[in-house]
Amino acid sequence: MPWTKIDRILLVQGVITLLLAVTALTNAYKAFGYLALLNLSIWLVLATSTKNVKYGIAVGGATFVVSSICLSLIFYYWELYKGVFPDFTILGMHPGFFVLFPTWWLLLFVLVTLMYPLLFEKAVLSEEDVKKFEEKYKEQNLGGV
Amino acid sequence: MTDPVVATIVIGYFILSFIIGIIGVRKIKTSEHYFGATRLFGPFMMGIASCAAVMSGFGFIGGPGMVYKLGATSLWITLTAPFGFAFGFWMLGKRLRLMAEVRPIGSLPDVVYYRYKSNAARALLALSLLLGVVAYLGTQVLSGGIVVAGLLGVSLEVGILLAFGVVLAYTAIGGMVASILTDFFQGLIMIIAGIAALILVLGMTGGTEGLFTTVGQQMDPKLIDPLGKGTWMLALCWWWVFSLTNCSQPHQTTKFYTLKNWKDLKVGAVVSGLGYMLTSLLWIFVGYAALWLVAKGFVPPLERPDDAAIAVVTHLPVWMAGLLYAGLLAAIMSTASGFIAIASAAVARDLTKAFGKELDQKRQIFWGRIVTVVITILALIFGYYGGYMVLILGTLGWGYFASAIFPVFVIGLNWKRATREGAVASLAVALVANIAFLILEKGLGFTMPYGIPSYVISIMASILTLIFVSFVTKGATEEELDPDIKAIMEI
Repeated sequence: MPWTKIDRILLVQGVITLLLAVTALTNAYKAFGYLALLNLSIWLVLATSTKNVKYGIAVGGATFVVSSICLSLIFYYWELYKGVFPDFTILGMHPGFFVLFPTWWLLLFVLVTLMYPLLFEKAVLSEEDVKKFEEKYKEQNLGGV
Repeated sequence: MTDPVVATIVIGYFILSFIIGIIGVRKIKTSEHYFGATRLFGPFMMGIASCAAVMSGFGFIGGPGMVYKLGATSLWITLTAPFGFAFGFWMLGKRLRLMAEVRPIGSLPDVVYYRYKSNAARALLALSLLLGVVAYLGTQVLSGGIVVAGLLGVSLEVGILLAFGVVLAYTAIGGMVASILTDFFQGLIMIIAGIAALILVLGMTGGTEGLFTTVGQQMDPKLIDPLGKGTWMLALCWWWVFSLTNCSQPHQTTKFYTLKNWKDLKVGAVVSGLGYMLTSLLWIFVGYAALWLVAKGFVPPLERPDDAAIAVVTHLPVWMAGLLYAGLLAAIMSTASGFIAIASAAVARDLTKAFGKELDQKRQIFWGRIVTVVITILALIFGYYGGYMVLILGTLGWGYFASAIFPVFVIGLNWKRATREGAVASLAVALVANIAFLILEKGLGFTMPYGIPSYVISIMASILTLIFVSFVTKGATEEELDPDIKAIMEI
């Protein structure tokens, strides 16, 4: 069977999952964190691979870049103020905490949640896709309710 | 006896839940409606029900308790909502919804059967769901009963019968339809409780400035840093698992095919994610408010972290206490009703089909109701008398479902090369790995290093099994797929 792009994505995800296990069991937490972000972002690419993969790459890529920056800032501020009250706070919050909540939290809402309806027609499912599907398969209905 | 205002709110909540659940029976025309609420609801109903089903009682009591004990560590679970909910829509939304157009889907094992053409996979998933659901329900019996008994001043037994009697009544009569209708109502209560908690807590503590500065300076700076007192591996494992597998919880996965129209997927994604984000405000701010109360000397240090929410409630207006308790009951009952409906389908529909016995529509619904009653009673007996076994099996929660469902659904519905052999092997690995870890950890005292939750390894193992077994086997791949299923996977 010839290899498709989805087969290759799955192979990469398999390898990343193995690396996640190795980094977890060796307590390489920073490597685990970035690999986890990569893993999650690649699933988003896979989600659009049958429709319009460039949107998946855009959403997955942006999610990976933004999340990596947030995670790096969290690690940085955590190490900087480890065990002490920080020199500066944002709205009273530890700067690393402020990156985790609400910054990253809200950015992910925009990047992953809001992008879904905004890119729906182009990246997920269009009226035309459904029309073609229904014309072909709804008549041979195998029992759909 | 508790405050009469609180008792009135709670009793009112029970009555409303029951009435709303019963209303659902009018919508049921087929067994797919009863077991799956297939194609019956709009995006607001589905979205709110979705977030209510995922936010269990743990989020209202255990969540604030973990913030009290560990600081931000547990926030790496709840803050995954803006990724996790939408992720399910990206990965599974259109595939499950389109499948409901052409196939009689009433349960998750139905989907597995159509995708992999395997009664073994169908039966294995049904059995896995049944075991996980009864184990989970068992843990909820005592907690639900204790809450109701404390609120209404009745005995534990009466508390259990009240809480689960109401759930049983509306779920047996209305099946998944009743579950979703009541989940919607209960989700609204949770969202209001989350927003109210944020406003009242910030009012009490002088805003985020007063809240976090006080906790960080007067208690422990670790409590306000982004890691808290847990380990990085624990926080990051939680982040990965809860982002990835939110859509792999049975009470969440089933929601995609409940949408009336495929276009509703768009709004459903936003409503469910936003809804959960709002309910998680309670987890975050009530937890930190408990630390603030201790730092200020308003309450003595708590003996049990899980008392955090109760400690905060006693310093808020009485109506908020009623709302919080109603929210807590809502969280317990909404998750329980969804699980009961799933377990009922697993027995009355999936296992019978897997063993070659097809019941007609009316008989499926009839037996579904009987099975609902039997399963709920079994769970009550198990939860009440199970003792240590309840605690042990109760750990078969999120990770157990995630390791069984994620590979066969999320990967299998997006990858035509995923094979029947891969699916069966992956389901078997999920079952064996979770039970093995259960024996190792609870029976032999084994602990994973660096705070890694053992279910993370089970999830990785089941994912790897599906991928690599599929690369070397052929069953139910491209050529063997039915044309409509193939089209759904190519669209």
